[in-house]
Amino acid sequence: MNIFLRLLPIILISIIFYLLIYNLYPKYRELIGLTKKLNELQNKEKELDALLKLIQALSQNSNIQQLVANKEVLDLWLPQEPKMEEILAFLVSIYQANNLVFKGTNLDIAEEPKVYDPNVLPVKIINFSLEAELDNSNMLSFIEALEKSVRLMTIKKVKISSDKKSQIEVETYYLSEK
Amino acid sequence: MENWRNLIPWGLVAPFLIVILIEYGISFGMNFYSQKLNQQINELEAKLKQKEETIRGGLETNEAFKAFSQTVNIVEILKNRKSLSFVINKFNQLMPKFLMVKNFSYDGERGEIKIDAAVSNWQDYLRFHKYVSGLQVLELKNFTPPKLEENKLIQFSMVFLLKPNFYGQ
Repeated sequence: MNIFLRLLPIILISIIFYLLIYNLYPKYRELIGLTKKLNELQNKEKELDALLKLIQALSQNSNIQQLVANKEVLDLWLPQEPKMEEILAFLVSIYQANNLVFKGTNLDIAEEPKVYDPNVLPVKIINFSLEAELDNSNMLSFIEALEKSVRLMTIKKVKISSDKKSQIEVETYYLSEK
Repeated sequence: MENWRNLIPWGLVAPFLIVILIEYGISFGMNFYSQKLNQQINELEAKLKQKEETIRGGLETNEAFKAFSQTVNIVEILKNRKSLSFVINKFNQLMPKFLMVKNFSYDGERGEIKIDAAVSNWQDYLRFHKYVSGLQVLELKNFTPPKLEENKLIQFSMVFLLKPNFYGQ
């Protein structure tokens, strides 16, 4: 009995620390985590509200109304659909203009859309590679024709060879709905 | 029993018991608050999901937003695009006349140009190497050792990194 009484303060201190370490501290951590998550969700709600306001403001903005009126021009630069047949028609025309034979290409739509600005709809990328027998007479005009295309195109890679066919990797874009 | 109770030094034990009781109280309070937070989070998540769906549905059919997105993306694409014809013209301007380029490769993402080229003698090669090493707009990243081929031309490959001022006028 005497020993128990002497050990009693130690037992009680152990219980206090046990509760502190195995009960209170994990619950405290959990609470911190939940509060953080709640704050994040509240911030997200504010962003969505701001986006909602932006959309309403956009619909009423006179400059945007003007853009909507010129939708056809925007659709030429960055269409809302892939419009593969238009790409092929354009390629055939620039090959013919440079006295080259177009043997076809694979138009490959990248799965992941590219986000240039997180506040607007992203774009989808269509990749294709071209082969052409380019020489000094037609090389620049062919490349300039690609770059000056009304539909936006970017030449990503090129391999120009003096004795073999040159290879050009190009990407073009369309507006992604999601 | 009475004797046992009398034996416990309550003056010493009481503060410990009070601390334990406070800990239990705090633990209970935390449990309650945690449940409340969980409930709030679930409600907010459901609300946000609904809001997102409403916005998404609205955006997909909102012509003004689509036109705005098209314009922003067009500007960004044009801003990020590097013109290959500009690169070729500028590179041609920079390279000396005696250099014979057999293959020319350009990688827009890496901002790199690789050439397989030849010169007619060792003096030209040394002159060219010294010249490209000192260029402000290109950085000589890599090169293969030059070799005198059967056609009596000195052939080599070089990889250049395009520095940002390369795109300046």
